[in-house]
Amino acid sequence: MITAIATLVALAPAPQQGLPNLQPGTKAPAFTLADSNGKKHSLASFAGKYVVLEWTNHQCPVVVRHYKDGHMQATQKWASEKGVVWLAVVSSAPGKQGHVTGAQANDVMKAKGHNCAAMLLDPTGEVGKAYGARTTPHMFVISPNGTLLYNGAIDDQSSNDPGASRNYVKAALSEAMAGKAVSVPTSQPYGCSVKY
Amino acid sequence: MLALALALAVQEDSTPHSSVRLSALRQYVPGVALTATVHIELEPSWHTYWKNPGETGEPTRVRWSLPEGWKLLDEAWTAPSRFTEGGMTYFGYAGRAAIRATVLPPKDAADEATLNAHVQYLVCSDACLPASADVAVTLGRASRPPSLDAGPDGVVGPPFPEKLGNAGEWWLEEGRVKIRFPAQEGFEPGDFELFAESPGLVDPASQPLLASRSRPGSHFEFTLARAGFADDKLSDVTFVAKHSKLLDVSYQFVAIQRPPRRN
Repeated sequence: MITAIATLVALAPAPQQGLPNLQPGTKAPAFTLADSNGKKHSLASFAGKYVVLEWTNHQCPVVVRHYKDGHMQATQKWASEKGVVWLAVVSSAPGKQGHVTGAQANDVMKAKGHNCAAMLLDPTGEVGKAYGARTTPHMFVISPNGTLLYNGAIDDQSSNDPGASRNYVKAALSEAMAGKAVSVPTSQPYGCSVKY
Repeated sequence: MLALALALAVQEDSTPHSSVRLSALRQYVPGVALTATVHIELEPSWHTYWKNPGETGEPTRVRWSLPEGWKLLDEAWTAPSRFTEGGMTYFGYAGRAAIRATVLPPKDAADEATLNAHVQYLVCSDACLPASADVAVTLGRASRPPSLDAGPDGVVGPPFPEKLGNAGEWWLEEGRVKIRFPAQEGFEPGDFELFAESPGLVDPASQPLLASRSRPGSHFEFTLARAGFADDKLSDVTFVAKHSKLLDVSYQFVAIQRPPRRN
């Protein structure tokens, strides 16, 4: 039981600054972005399907590791075979690490063996900031009715526990497709900061 | 000769913009614990991350390989600093970081022992680069502890946080996180900033909304914003309380989750 307060300091409330933190259960922000071939994609056009957004930067060492061991491509393939629309998004600003032109994006996808439906280019960072994308990778899973199901890390491998291994995106999709609640709807994403 | 020069030129630097070394006293005594410390030195304007990197980054990892029969008793990290970049807050180190293992050699340890550490970290400035190093130190066996004038094991810079054990507690109140730990003599609660070792409880961007001293019991009590990426399974969380001005003052404590009050 806390009684008298002898000293009170640091009373200024922390200003709510920085990126938004989208909560699962809320509507995923609408967007329209051109892909590496100039074709425009809007979230609304994928209504009725599960959508995964993967923020990426092909030069970020954490992304490199996920592709080097084939882990990300395997997850993309697994999801695509289940009818999920998997979109990679690049929000690196021109001149910053990971920025790509359309042609460079196609080269990256080919070289890395991507299994995503498209790589979307967001050089202004507008969509990344609307989603509060913080790291590469940073993952979002969206339900067929446009509701956010998952916001966070690809897996629990940021921990030092070598025994830990849970792919949060696969888990969220599997649970949602089975009509279950997503057991881990958020986790702290890890990786390089998005180079806005 | 030319081929060798070319080979060297294309050899990648495994620790870009940084360097790693392992320090320890040169001798050990069987059955007597000793410390070995990994030091990461960073070039100006480059940083690396703490065990909880905050909103961006990746935890620095150290994997110790010890001779047979040796035990890793403890690992300590120097207190991190808080940085912000592009609206994101991260915890880590500029300049230098140190991670210290306390190890126990067996009573029947062999004459010479080599301690190895594999260190993996991200080094970031505008861009992030991967870094890793394998470092080792070989120790001779002594029958008596080395004299004090053998010096410390090469640690320079801020010391490791003083351990207070299971001295704290945390609970949720009106959607915020409350944290208590024993008041430290000579200091005010507002002198400290708090860092949670596990993500998922405290919003990394949150500075203390309220820091106060309670009576009786004289605890420091902090109110912080809850993590947006909340982990509902957390129970005991280790914190580092770091004096915001005195570099050599920091504490580490485990905060036990206070059970919900019964109505």
